[in-house]
Amino acid sequence: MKQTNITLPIFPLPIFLLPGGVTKLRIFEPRYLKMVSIASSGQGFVIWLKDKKVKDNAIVDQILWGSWVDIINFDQGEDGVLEVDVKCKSLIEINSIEQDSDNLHFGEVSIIKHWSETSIDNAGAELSKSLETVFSENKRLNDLYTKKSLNNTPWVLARWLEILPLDLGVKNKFVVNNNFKEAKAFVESVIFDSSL
Amino acid sequence: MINHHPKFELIQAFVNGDLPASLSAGIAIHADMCAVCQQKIAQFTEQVAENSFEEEFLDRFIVDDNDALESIAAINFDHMIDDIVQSSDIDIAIPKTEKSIEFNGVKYMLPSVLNNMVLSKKANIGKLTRTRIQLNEDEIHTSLLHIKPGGGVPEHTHKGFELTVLLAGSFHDESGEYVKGDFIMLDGSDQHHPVSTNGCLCYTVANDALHFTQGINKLLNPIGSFIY
Amino acid sequence: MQTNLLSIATNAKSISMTDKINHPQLCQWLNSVAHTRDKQAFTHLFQFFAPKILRIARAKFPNEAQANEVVQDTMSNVWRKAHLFNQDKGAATTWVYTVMRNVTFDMLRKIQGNKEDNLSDDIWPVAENMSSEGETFDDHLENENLLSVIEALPQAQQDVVKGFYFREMSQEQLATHLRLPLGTVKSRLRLALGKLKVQLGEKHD
Repeated sequence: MKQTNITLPIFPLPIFLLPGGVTKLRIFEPRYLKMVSIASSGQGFVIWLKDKKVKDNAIVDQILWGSWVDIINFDQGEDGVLEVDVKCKSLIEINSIEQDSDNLHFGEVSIIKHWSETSIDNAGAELSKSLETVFSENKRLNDLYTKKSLNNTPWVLARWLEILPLDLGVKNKFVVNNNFKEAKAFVESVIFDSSL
Repeated sequence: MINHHPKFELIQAFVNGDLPASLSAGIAIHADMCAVCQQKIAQFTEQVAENSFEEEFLDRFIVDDNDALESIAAINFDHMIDDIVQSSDIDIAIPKTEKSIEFNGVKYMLPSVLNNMVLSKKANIGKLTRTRIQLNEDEIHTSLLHIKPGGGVPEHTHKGFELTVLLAGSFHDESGEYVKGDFIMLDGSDQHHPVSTNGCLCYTVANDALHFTQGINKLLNPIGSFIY
Repeated sequence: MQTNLLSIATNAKSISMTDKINHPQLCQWLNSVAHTRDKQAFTHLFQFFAPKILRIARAKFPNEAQANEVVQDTMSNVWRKAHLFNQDKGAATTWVYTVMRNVTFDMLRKIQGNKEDNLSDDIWPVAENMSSEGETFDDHLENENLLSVIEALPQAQQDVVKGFYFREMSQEQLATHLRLPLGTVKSRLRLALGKLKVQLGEKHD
């Protein structure tokens, strides 16, 4: 798995993002402004899933993977705070972490493959339709995605996992287990009647 | 600064009217002091109201004529309307009266939420004084608990939940310092030993007697049911 | 906790307000009732709200007569308290919802605890605090201690993120989306999680 080792800035956040996923961040801490400037002139940065609950429940001692993101858009919010849209291009494994003098973390990482990057055409499936409705009813979410792969089941599943109200500890499992069928069965049982 | 807030599920249940009066009042007291939660509650209420009265939920019940409407209602809506509009009464908003309570020679203003609740007589052990709020919710006990400076509640745990909303003063336990407005919800897995250096007044709700867990304090178990 | 927290700075209205309800019209009727005791306007309000209130009440009260009582009491409170409605402070739907929820709460307390203390209006004032304007979450955080405040944010406030910014749906939003009661959605999530655990267990055997 460890073909390439890259060093990237790390942003610890309680955000679950799979490849293809987009989210908006507001950045104002000096160390993360620095991170954005490094990232936009370089190779992006890593969102490292971090949440008090995950630790407390001892589901995992430490999460060793992160979402490698590119900055795809930026803007200034009405209050002058920098807003960046980031898109996850791959999941990575964090091999080691260091901190610089500004308390910004850097990690040596290597790419890991995840089912959400695969492509399975399944036009018109119920899960896609349901997700399409979520998009159409939520402008802020909809605006993040210029291109939606609603016909691609892994893409649809990944977006569902991102937005479902679940503990991050649970979501973490869908990366650690890396099992497409399990994820599909899970999402379907939430969206459709699980007694069926 | 207020650091402890009701979690979102509680706020949802509060807005839906699904919580008992004791917990609802606890959240209302906290929200009175906490702009963040006030905002959350207002936005969530707006959202729930919108959803409740959305037209399309009704499509399958309502056909646009009065017969269908009345048959599902099994009541005569026209009569109800006539009945209601016959009355020329309007409800005048009564200005809120401010009530206070005295502990240890100090007068405290009561949150207006408690205005119409019945308080029982004060009871006292050492540095602790409490007065029960009579809400008649079976196993759920609601009280005002006053701790004199230097007083505390022995280390304890409980089978159910224990809610403390700090009305005045401060206290601390193993997890840190709590200040006026903090909304502290513990469950059976939490053990703590609150101590108030400068004294405090709390609104407390618990659904089970406390169980003291430490050495000699086990002997104090009877006061568990005293405090909460 | 980090910077992204501020990204919740979106108005709930943008998520929840739909075109399905004619809010200005409801407001106007409510004001006509308040100012001129307009019976026609009240009839319109009644026709809009009563069937919906009845449906909601039926879900909470198995007894038909009690559900009818909720409709009667709510609508008669609307008639008698309309002047307490302030359109600058919130939508008519929000106000009527508050009146209905309070009637329901007091009635349930009466049935379950045999208490006629009518505490609801103290807990949820019908005349004030209906505002979702004023001090916003954003403003609250925007002071010179911004960074330390954010670092110290407890889980409870992190959870707000889920409700107001669409990074994650709340259970309530999911319920709305699926057109299901919240309880059903919760039990589905529980079931799904249970299954997930079973699958994991099997794999490790």
